[in-house]
Amino acid sequence: MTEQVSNKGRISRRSLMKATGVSLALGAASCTPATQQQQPPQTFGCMALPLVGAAKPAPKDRSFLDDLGFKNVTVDGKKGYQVQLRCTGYRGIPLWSVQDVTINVDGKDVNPKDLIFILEGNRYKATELKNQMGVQWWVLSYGTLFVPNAEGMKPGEHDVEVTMNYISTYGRRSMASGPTGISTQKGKKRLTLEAEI
Amino acid sequence: MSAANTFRQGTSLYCFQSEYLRFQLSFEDCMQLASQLGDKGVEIVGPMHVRTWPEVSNEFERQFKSSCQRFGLTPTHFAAYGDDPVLKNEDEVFDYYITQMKGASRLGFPLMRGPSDNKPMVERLLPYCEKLIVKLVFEIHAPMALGKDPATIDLAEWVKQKSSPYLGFNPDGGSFTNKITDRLKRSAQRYGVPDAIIKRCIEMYDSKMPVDKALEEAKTMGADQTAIWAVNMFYGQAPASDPEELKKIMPYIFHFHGKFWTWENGQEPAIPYEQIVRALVEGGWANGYLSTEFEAGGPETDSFEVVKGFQEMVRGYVAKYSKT
Repeated sequence: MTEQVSNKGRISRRSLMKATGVSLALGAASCTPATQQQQPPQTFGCMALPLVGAAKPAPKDRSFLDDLGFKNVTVDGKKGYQVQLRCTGYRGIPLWSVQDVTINVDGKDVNPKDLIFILEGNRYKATELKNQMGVQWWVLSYGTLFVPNAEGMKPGEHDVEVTMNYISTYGRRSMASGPTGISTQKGKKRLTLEAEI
Repeated sequence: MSAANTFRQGTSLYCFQSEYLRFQLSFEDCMQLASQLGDKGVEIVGPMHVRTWPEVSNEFERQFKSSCQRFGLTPTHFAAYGDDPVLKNEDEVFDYYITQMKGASRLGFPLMRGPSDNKPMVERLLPYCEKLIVKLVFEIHAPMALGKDPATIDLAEWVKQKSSPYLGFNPDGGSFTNKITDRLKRSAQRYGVPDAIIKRCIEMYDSKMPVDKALEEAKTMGADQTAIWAVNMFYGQAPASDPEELKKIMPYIFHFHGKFWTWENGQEPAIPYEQIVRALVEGGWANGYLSTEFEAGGPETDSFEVVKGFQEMVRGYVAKYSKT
């Protein structure tokens, strides 16, 4: 299968999927257990899949305050607007390490008590994140900060600044924790309001 | 790939973090890349790669095992975390570890990172190692210096005394860092540490002045809390462990983190990998994987090519120092 793929010299998505399917079927019958330590395990045809050297897609924004996702929304029947956030480390953070989240739009602070933080579809009051023992903010997941506002955000560009303080899981001696043991994520951007859908 | 009677090479998916975190590589893509490197050992970082961490879902278990099978990968080490600063008490830390050990076990990892600064916790976890067939390895990571830091000397003695098949070491290449690099300088600058203090601190480090004296002198230069942190951080991030010290703990080395940041002309200029590999080869280390941990990717870097280059460098040193 994979020979056929490479003979063509051109790999389509369909041929990749076919190759993977065949190897899966082969794997079920003839695989070497992954736990075998003495010899590197046997490999299968899909090894020839050309991921190495393949063109990478463009990188997505990696910053705390995301370039995208600033728009008017309705959450649980309430009108307002939202921004998208990501934790910037390599391994996510415990949600309960977050001490506070604040947002300032066009120079005006929003009352933190009004803010709703949404993670994996779950709603939390932004002031109560420190009580969410056991909830992990996974590193690939976006957190959404929802600001209830009956009038919504006016179209166009706005200066948005979001700040989040959280306890570093590494303790004070670590370089990652900074001088205080409290880490701060801050995002300040001029964002353009996106269409609602 | 590796010479007979010596260690194997594996890859921590941590290496591909830049592409992974920017959605340029999926988890599956990272697995495939790992299968085209070294001896196809794979290490994952619990909270980075497992969405339901610290637990492992049935979905992830199948995804991981299926991927290992398809690409011929061998699980090597599950990078677990203690996160003590955000847990309330030792019972919570214990639960945190046990949950991760169960996950590592289900995924087929023979090794998991254990708490290197908490012996009572290790004693509590040890009975579960046997049940779950997971060994705990203590990472010797900066700021710890192998054989210099009283804590590591004490830990090595303790592991020897315990002499349990379930307790061993994972020295991290970063602990052998012997230069204050631009990366560390930039990190101090980011917190606003004055350039004069940074410059003087590097001179003091290079002249092998002890950290206490360096701190004293920094204070006379008017160092504030942040600058004091920076001096500690510089010394801590470049602990200059002596590779020869590896020979003293050789039977207990189960894993080795091939950490590096800078890749210039086929070398990491701040970590003496030639001496490290030489010590491992001469010490007869054949008991695990040297698992690459490239830590400085970015949109301009092809992490796969860098990791490949690093592993070729290691392979070269293995060949150079192996007696055939």
